[in-house]
Amino acid sequence: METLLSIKELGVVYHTERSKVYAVNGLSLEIAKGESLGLVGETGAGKTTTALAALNLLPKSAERSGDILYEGKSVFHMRERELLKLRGGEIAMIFQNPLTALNPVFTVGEQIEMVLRAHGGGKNRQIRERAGELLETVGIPRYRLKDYPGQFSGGMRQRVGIAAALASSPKLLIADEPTTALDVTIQAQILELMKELQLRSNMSLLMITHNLGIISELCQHVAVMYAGTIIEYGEVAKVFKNPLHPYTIGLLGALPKLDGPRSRLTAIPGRIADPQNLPPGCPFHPRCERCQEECQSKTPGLAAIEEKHFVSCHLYTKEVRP
Amino acid sequence: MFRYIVKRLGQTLLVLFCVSVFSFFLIRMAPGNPAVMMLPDGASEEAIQEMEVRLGLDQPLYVQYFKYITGVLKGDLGTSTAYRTDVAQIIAQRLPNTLALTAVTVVAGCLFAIPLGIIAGSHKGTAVDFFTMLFALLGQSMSPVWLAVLNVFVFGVWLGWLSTMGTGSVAHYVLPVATLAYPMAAQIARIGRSGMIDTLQEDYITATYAKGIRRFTVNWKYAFKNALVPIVTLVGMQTGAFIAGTIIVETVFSWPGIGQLLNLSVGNRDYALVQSVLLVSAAFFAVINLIVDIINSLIDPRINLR
Ligand SMILES: Nc1ncnc2c1ncn2[C@@H]1O[C@H](COP(=O)(O)OP(=O)(O)O)[C@@H](O)[C@H]1O
Ligand SMILES: [Mg+2]
Repeated sequence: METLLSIKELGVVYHTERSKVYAVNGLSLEIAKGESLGLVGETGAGKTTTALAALNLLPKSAERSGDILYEGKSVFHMRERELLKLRGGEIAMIFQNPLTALNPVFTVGEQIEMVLRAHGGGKNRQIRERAGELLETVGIPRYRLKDYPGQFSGGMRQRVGIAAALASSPKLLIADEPTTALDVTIQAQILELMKELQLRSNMSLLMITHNLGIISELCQHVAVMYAGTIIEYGEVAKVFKNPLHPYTIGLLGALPKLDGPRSRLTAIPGRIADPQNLPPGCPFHPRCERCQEECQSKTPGLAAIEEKHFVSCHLYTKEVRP
Repeated sequence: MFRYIVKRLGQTLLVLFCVSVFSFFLIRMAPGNPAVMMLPDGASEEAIQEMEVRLGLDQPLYVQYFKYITGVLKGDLGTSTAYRTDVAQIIAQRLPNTLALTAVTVVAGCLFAIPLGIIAGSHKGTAVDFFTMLFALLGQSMSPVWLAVLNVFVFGVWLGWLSTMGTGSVAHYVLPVATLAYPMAAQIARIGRSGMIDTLQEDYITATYAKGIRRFTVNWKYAFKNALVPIVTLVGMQTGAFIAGTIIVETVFSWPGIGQLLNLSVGNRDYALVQSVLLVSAAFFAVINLIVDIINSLIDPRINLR
């Protein structure tokens, strides 16, 4: 399959007044055309940072290394004009919090229409017409175009966010925890909608979430992220059936099963690595039950264990001693 | 909206009533006697008493107030003791001057300071931002009196570039407007800058960039509208508070408006005139506030007029 987006050894350090935040540390990832990839990780793992980097939208305080190629072209070296086309036109993004992602003083219609005007344009009447269609696609009647975000519920606002993201028929949709801020019942509706739209349009999807259920619903591949890097990657079926990294095993164990006998919920002990003060060696080692001497000093690399299944863990890259 | 306006006008009437009571009694508490002021120096005790009777000053205060307020309700603001003419007429003559000064100042201040604040806020940490903040700091630390005197000396007396007296030409506007507009512009620039900085950190601005909108449009169309609400509020408050500023500026620059009039009438113990000027100013303030609320509710739909 042809590669659409390729992230190569991405590193992002935020420089704040008091310290340096190592948000992303040597992350590599590829998304093929039409593929849907899940990116899982706890809060603070660097997921949003990675997404914003793909749009070259990191704040000035962020120092980057590595590269991100979109259709073979470096996003970091694009000119302003190319970037304006890329953002919203080629890659669209749905934000985590629908309550803050829409401008409260502009109508919902305007926030969809601005995408249409920036990418393609056309006469005002046509744009309005198209915005109405998009709103209907996500299940909101078109007469609500002239309403303000404050007049919508969280779920409705996220639908508006989806409509705006789809307005330019992007090749890649990045959905940054699109349902985290919503009620469970609304979550299911939004996911259903996204699944339907993705199947219909054949766009690639980068689904960022910390909900593994969403991944198995929507994605072919999954990348598990910890402390700004990928620690396990593979086909969803393989990773879920045969998780390798102790962190992934912990995550899957922490997922309450809906069917079958209810197994005890095994949360991973300890807290996520502090990006301002990363441990040496494998970033997961302080929380790892199977931590060895090597793990405390040497950072493991991503290695193929079986076809389309990679893990970054010393337990698998050398013979495990009995 | 209509019901809101009616309600606000009702509140305004209440405020104006209070203002009329306060101004009526305050001016009478000040030492001095209008009857004495109207007579030549060394007038006899009888002449003064006769004048007091003529002016109605011999009657109890509440009777005087009742007469005054019923007159106002009928549109009669009384007669000025110093000018010996109808107060309404004097105010009508001078109010346009003050309004013109106010309008030119507000428009000039806004045209200069709003873009400045927006540019400074969207270019935080740059040289433009630094000089804007310097400009604002200076403007806020100079009192209008000082600024007025400085302007008269530097531009009027020393350089001799501009007229410092009266009205009539565009050049006459420059110094009074600059004096009034500078402190105002300083505050607007500050508020605009901080509003812009706050807005640009919002998620929805990142989301707007993520849609491929160019920086200029993001700043001047999308973020601008968010930063506008505190600016409008501030401009309204300043416009309302202008009467205070105009007293100084009109006196220094001999501008025949109601600020100068108020200053003169207090000196003359011209009761009827002082009361009415204060009343008109208060009405002006109330109307400006109402307009501000309406504009803000149009900018930001989250502001509900109730
Ligand atoms: N603008 C920023 N300045 C400083 N630190 C930041 C900034 N944005 C994110 N971070 C920090 O970077 C780390 C990764 O954040 P983020 O990418 O938002 O993670 P996630 O989306 O996985 O929750 C966190 O520790 C966060 O506090
Ligand atoms: Mg996030």
